[in-house]
Amino acid sequence: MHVFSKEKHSETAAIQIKGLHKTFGDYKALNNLSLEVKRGEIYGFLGLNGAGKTTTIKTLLGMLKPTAGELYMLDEKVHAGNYKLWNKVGYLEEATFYPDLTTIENLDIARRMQKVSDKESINQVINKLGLEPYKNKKAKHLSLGNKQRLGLAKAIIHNPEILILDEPINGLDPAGVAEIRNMLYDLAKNNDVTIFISSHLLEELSKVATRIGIIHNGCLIKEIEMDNLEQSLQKSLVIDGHDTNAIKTVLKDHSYEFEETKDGPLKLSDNRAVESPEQLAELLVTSNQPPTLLRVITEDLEGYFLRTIGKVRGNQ
Amino acid sequence: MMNIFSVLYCEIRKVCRSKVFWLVFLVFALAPIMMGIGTISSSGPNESSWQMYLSQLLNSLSGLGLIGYTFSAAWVFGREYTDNTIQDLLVKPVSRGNIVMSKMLVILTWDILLSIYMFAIALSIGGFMGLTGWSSALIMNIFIRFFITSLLFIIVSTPGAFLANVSKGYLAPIGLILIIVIFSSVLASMGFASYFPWTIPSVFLGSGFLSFSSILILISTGIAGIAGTFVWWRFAEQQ
Repeated sequence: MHVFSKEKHSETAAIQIKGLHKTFGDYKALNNLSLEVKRGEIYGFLGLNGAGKTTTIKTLLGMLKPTAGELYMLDEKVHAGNYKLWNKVGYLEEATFYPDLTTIENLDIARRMQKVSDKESINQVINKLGLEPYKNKKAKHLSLGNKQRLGLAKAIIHNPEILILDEPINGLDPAGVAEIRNMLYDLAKNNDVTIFISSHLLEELSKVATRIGIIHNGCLIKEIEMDNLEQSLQKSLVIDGHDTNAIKTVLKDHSYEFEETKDGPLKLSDNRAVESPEQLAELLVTSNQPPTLLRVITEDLEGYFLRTIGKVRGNQ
Repeated sequence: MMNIFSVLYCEIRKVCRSKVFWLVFLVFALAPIMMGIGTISSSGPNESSWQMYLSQLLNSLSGLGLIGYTFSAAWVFGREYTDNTIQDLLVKPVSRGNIVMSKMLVILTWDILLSIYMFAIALSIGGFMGLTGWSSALIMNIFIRFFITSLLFIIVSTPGAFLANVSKGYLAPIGLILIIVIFSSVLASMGFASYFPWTIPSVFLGSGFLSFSSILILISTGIAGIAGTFVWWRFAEQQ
């Protein structure tokens, strides 16, 4: 029976957003946004600042009323009056705490507000996040990384089924980022927690998310499985030689499309060049224009993200 | 029911562990000490009685209390915005009504303690300065009237809580109450004290009586502050 119910759970989405619109006066913050996050999935919600990430999350948490559309979490409709739902949801925006209270006192307030009767849950979460040495320290005296850990500890003290994190790695050092990443991965993999994590850094999201949704100007413009991301990255062939004009003539004569880069080398993005660079090398050699540079480069994640939202690096 | 006690416990802890709570008591000790000594020093040798001292001092203290009560109401709500803990608080399996109720109860307790504390300091100064004419019945009589006046001021401090939520901080209500205090003395001198919510408690302190219209204005102001806060928490968007 238990197995059966778990299977049934895994079929239904943990988070469902259907046709969400949100306007502030004349400003359209969200425009017909729909998405689903499956149970146990780590969904990365990617967008530039002002794209609508926080508005989506605040609407998802019942802090903002949708202008149109519906939101469900764990099959329950989200609205400000459905407060019992927060029993199963953990939320972290930025490290917020009561500054004059210690780490333990802050966690005790979170425990009581989450209606967790077991006081041991405080020690468990302190150990899990490595806050043991700082448990009696006032929250305002913690380092940025430890404040963030405290925030995360508060968000998971009640073992939520869904964890919603709005830019949780802002301000963390690389070690802190890696630590949080491993913990999120562990929660999703071993505790079947569904994680919805927003960021404007694809690089960071790509290390933890199983799927990524890209939001731009309030619209969800693309969703991509992380397993397929590598194939979606654009590859190009960069070539250079002693006489660039002569190389250009050879390329034109053989119908290769190319573009000139600012630094001088030529960039070819068509499949023929990328998949068979040795043929092009042979062609250039036989045309008496041996290349001094010939390299296949793969677009980085930032480039992919900017290309997807229709922007070019350097605010062009 | 356990739910509200648990929320109440959290609210009490948040307030008692903050520096602001103790700072308020420190500031509101200095005022009665200085005003008390000033009252006694400025009175003639035959006027240094408990009756004269307390009736003069408590009139000033009760008005000062209004600033304290509004501050506590504004701070208990407003600090959730300035510390950015409001979003934390809203995503908890606790009804928002229970959170507001707990905060209101903490504010009420804080205000009552502050009022009794100011009276106790005033008594200590009087005793220290060797006033004459002590009578337990007299003191009790004056205390009861002062205490009821304080409760009336607490009622009209509730719009401060509402304003703290609307303005997402505690500075706006504190600024407003300072303006109201200045405005109050102008209105009182023009004879409108019985009709302005924030001067009605002083009318009671002076006369021991309030007209029906004054009571109605007072209650309406209190209800507006409390209901406004509850409605705001339930329905307002938290951007």
